[in-house]
Amino acid sequence: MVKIKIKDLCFGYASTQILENVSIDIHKSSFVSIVGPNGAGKSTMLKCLNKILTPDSGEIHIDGRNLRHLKRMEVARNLAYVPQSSNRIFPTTVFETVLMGRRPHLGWFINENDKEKVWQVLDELGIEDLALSSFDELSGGQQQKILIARALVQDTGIILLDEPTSNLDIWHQLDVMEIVKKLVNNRNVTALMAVHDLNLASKYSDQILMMKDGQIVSAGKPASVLTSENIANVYGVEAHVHTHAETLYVMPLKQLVMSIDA
Amino acid sequence: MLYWFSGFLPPYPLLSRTAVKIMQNPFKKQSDSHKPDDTGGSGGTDNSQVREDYQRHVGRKLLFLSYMLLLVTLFAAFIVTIGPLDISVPDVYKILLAKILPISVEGLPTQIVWNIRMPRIVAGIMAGFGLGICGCVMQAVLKNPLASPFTLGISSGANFGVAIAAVLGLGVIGGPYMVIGNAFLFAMLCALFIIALANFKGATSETLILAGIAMNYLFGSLSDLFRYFATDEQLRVMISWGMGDLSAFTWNNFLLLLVIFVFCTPLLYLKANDLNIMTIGDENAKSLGIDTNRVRMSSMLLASLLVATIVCFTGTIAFIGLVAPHMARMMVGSDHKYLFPAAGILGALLLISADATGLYILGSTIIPTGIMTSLIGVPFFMYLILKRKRKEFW
Repeated sequence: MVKIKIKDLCFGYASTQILENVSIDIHKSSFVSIVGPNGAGKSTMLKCLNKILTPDSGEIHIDGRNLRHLKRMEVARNLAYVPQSSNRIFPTTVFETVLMGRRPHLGWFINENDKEKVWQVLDELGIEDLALSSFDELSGGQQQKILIARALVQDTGIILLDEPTSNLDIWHQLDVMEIVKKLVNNRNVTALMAVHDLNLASKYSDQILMMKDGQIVSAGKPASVLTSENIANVYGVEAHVHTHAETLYVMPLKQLVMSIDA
Repeated sequence: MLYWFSGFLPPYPLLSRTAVKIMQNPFKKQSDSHKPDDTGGSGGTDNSQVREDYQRHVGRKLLFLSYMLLLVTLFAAFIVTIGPLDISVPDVYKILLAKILPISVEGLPTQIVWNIRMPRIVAGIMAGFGLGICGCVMQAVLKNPLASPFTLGISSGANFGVAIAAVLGLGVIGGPYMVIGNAFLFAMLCALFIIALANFKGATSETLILAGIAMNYLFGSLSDLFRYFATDEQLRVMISWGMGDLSAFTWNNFLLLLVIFVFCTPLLYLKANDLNIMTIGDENAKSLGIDTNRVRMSSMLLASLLVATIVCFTGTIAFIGLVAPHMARMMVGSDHKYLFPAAGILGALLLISADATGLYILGSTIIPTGIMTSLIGVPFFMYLILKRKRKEFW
């Protein structure tokens, strides 16, 4: 079943085109990774899906409904977004931070249900004890988990993650990927993740979209996308792809070109 | 009193316990997560402990708010009994009670208590509360700890309006309200300029503060220019207004201030959840369903309306709008459900106590409110900064 349908999506700023005619169907409860060099348009695509940015042309349908006709609050009830990091001006506690994720479901009053939801998610992620700590004083890995918790209490069918692992050590990288994988498997959530680490993408995703210069170059199962040819074309890097325990691993060997910036 | 405040600082003591827990069994924890029946069983003593802590945390904030409210009432009740003219404490309360009970009182003391002291206290509470919450709202929607009616140039705009009225005798409305009318108009013009800059040019909050400070200089220089050519009488109007003075407030102005106050305050407080979310940045806020531009525009408009109304009656009281929200944040944390009323109540408390000190300290000479607010407020604020363990105090 198609959960997200993107058709001829274009987005650009005054001087540069970021996304050019991106079209893709994403199926329900699949784990999709978006890979590609810096500036390929991965984050921009996520932000278009989330209505943080408004596309210049093209259509996005969520569950068959056109995104253009959905109110922002309605979008927030269907798609949750986990930013790469969140720097804030004023200190908030972890509990307050996660509770913000309930905003699309409530008015002024926060009732016990909403609080219970927050406790439940904090408990599931094993971070209940952090509830009263200040968000800024936590480690990068803990902060990332709390941002994921905020997205989880949003109770959405789709979760978008913008490079959630890029500032984390390998333990926390696996931790975050496991959490998302479980969401997809156990709660039928559809996850769309921009990620730089090809090995993480290969290990966890059902589908990989490889992007370059605002276009999807290759899409499909990890084995069909992560080939030496594709990596050489998209990244300008010679890489060795090998299989270990039924998972593909990419080992970059050397740069093939002087520059890959468009 | 200072020692007593520190008991209400939000606690951050839970880090070490968690670190241990995460190291112990991350995989076990995750393997049984996401089951619907997960919460009840795995609860244990540890989890209920943190929930209890949270309840206490919330209870402490509510307690703090009610203490502060009580303190404002007590201060007001005390301040009404002091002043240059000696009126005994029972007499003062008899005069006040006469307003609701059928007791007959008359003469000069009645005039002084009811028409001079009471308006001053009422103005102090409303202005302090209003400046506190407006500072709080502006800091949230502009995501900047430096935002305040003063730093955004709103007060200095009003100041310039007063200069025009005093020196040129020009005003939007004539008669006794010319000074007030001009102050309001120029304060609103300044505010609208800042709001327009934020919404239509998409200026960052740093740019807005810079623009506000630039406006401060511009209007400051223009006011100085007028001051340079002013006669002694004109100068007196400008100076007393510029230093902030609650004595100009009378019962005649009360109704107008009350109407604006009752209109703006609930509307702003209703945005408490959105204000929380605005502080985490526009992209994050949008992803949580907040129409950031609309929230920013409407909050700034309401706050500016309230500030302009207050400032045109009381003159420039710079310190409260900037610092009351920070003090409140140190005491109740960043959740605007509590921060908003706390900033207001603290603002009111600061303003009336400073004003009362100014009334009393030099005997028959009354020190203007604006001067006393800074003289009392700054040392208190510095104390809070130094006492705080965190490096950043907001």
